[in-house]
Amino acid sequence: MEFLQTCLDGLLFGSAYSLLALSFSLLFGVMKRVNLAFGSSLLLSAVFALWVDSILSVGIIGIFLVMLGSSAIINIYVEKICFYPHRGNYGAIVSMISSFAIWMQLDDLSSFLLPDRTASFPSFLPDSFFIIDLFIRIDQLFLFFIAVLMTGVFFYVLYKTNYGLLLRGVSFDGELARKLGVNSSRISSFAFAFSGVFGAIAAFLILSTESQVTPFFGFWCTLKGLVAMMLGGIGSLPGAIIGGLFLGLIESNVINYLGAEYRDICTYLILLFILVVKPGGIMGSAILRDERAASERI
Amino acid sequence: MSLYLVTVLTNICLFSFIALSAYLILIVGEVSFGQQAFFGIGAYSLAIFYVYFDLSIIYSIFLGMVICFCLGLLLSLLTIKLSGLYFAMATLAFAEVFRLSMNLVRFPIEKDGRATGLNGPEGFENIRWIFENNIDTLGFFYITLIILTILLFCFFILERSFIMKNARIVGKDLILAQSLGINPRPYRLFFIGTAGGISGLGGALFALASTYIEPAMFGMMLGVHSLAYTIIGGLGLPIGPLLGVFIDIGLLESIRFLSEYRMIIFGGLVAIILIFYPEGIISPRIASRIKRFFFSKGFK
Amino acid sequence: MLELKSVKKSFGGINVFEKLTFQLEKGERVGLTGGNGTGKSTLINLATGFLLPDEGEINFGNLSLLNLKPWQIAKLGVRRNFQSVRLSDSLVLKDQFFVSEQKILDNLEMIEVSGIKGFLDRFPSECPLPILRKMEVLRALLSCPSVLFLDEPSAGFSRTELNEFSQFLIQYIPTSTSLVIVEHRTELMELVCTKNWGLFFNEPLRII
Repeated sequence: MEFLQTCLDGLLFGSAYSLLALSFSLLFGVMKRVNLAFGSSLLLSAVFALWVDSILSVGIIGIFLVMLGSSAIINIYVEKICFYPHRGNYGAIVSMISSFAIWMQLDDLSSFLLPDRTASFPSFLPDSFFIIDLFIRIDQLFLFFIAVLMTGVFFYVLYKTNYGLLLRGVSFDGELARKLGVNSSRISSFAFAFSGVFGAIAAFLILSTESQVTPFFGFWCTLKGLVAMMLGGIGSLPGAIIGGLFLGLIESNVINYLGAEYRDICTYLILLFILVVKPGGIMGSAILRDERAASERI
Repeated sequence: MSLYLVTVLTNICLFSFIALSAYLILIVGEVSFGQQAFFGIGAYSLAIFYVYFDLSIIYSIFLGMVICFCLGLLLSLLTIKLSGLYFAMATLAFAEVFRLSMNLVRFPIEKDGRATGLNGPEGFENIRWIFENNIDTLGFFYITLIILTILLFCFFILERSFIMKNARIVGKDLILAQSLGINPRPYRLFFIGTAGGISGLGGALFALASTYIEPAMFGMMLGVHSLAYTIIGGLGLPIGPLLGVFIDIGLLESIRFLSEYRMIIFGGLVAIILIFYPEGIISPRIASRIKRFFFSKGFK
Repeated sequence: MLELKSVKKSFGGINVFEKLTFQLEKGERVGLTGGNGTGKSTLINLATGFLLPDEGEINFGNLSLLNLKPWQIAKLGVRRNFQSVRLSDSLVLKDQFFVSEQKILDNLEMIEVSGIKGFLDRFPSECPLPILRKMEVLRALLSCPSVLFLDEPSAGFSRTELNEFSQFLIQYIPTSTSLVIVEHRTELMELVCTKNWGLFFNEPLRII
């Protein structure tokens, strides 16, 4: 029963990681870029929403909406300053470093809006219940269902809408898409704004279950999202979901059986092991030594 | 020179080591998020050999470098099939495993009436070499400056050799390198290993300078900063990474009224510099231009 | 000397070669032509190890090339150029030969005749395309290859440039080197090659 409870907790919390990993996977799958500033854009949007609330007292729904809007705008800013200028073939490393620089900038901006280092975040549905002997928090269950729902929306947008088709087209061959008249600049802005909105929903749910914001939230999001994505397999959307759930399972079991101080070590050891043994991740296919060489026609 | 200036200059020298190690790895076309681990391993090895085993300072530094070199080789052997984000994440995982395990290791001892030794997150206190040998801040600055100059000299020799030329081709265009008959693997192994050693050397000096180290000093931030220094400075000449360090630590940290807004300015500045100089300020192309300007035209 | 034996290669379910057999003798000069998608470049990529065949054998002398990496094959003396020119954009041309200084000085005459001497101090972005293509050919020639594959070497050349270039190739490619020219157009191979083959979709090679 204890094991079941641990796994349940892990899965419920892992669904938050899945959402973060999906956002990363979207950008990596479509733009072939890593946005290190992603976590801090979520932090800044959350802190900004709290600041707006403190002035206008917009309430929990208002906070949610402000977060969505500001996160979309911040991510478009990140795209315009870090990714759009480096969209050529060799820009991957440069745009990653550039987004790291913006990460620093956004983190510092957040700490201006967060002078006390921590702020409480409004939580909703803070109840819990028992099924047989399993303790379940309603908001965590809600998070899980929202994660499932959001994944559905994600797949719908990517595979059923016109924008999704364009996104996948640009991801398949950006040069060709440009030649066929796709406005790739608008598509990439759309991808960033979409990932920002998606991430903001995830961040809102996570923060309200935690019921507080700290300056480390941005770093935490970036790291967990990246790790979950790598565990599941880069670019595979089902992989991102499974990677997140798997990460949740590992963490809750390690905390329960070894102690909290071993949580991150075990996570990173497993990540290292998976990268060395099966680099494509759990769901990914085998990767080639040089992706550039594989995708390029010689 | 004022004490503050000397401290800033010493910091520039110390962080130049880790920036140079990031430079070597970027030359072979990889991105490492884990150079801070080698910096930390260098620092911890020095502290352990010097405090626990009473080895002389030269041996302690040297052993730290050798350990870092070997671990770098091991890491690059393990990740030989990986590139790009996969390699970056593997190095990050390695670095975090090191940092977090240092949080767990506790083996405190008492030496000459002072508490020292490995002590988890509270760190390793009292690495008192500079006090025992009466080396003041200025003296230590000269020591690091001399070591850095020697290292830069080695870099310039390397830069003129075919090794660097081939490594640059491996990093820039793997397909071209292979069609020229260059085996990419030895370059990768040698460069990643050497980068580990250089970072370890910097870490050892850092431990001596600060006399106190803790795992939190060797977080991911340090590693990504070292990458940023190199990318802004440029991959053309080994001076590039030093320029990057100077821009961050030298200009921004020393202008005190800016320090509160430091990261806001530095972050934006880096992003804007990269828009105009995507290959860094001293890019390989600019290095070639300099060479063309100063050296003869054609052959002969 | 170099032999592809009943090689099969397909991309995403589309067969480029069903059972391709191709033989190259020492010192032979062969032209290969064919329409789009008949596998002209694929043949070069297979022979130089950048692609692996699905089935079949590739031999160089008595040695099977299937288990060798591209750089090992290049070291054996099977060299190539690239259809989309591959030169580092941050080095001037004279730094891109990747052979010893002595070797360059010994072959100064060849470099001069090729017509790129005036461009040696320039970056690739400052040179016209024909110069860059010649540069790639020179780079391969300076390494004294035993088999040389040229992928579209004269694309973008004017008629006079093409004539000069063919003279250059005839004069400076050693008689012991086997040469394979792969092109859309047949002008260059008619001037240089002794045997011209045509590649057709899913059919064996045919002399044209």
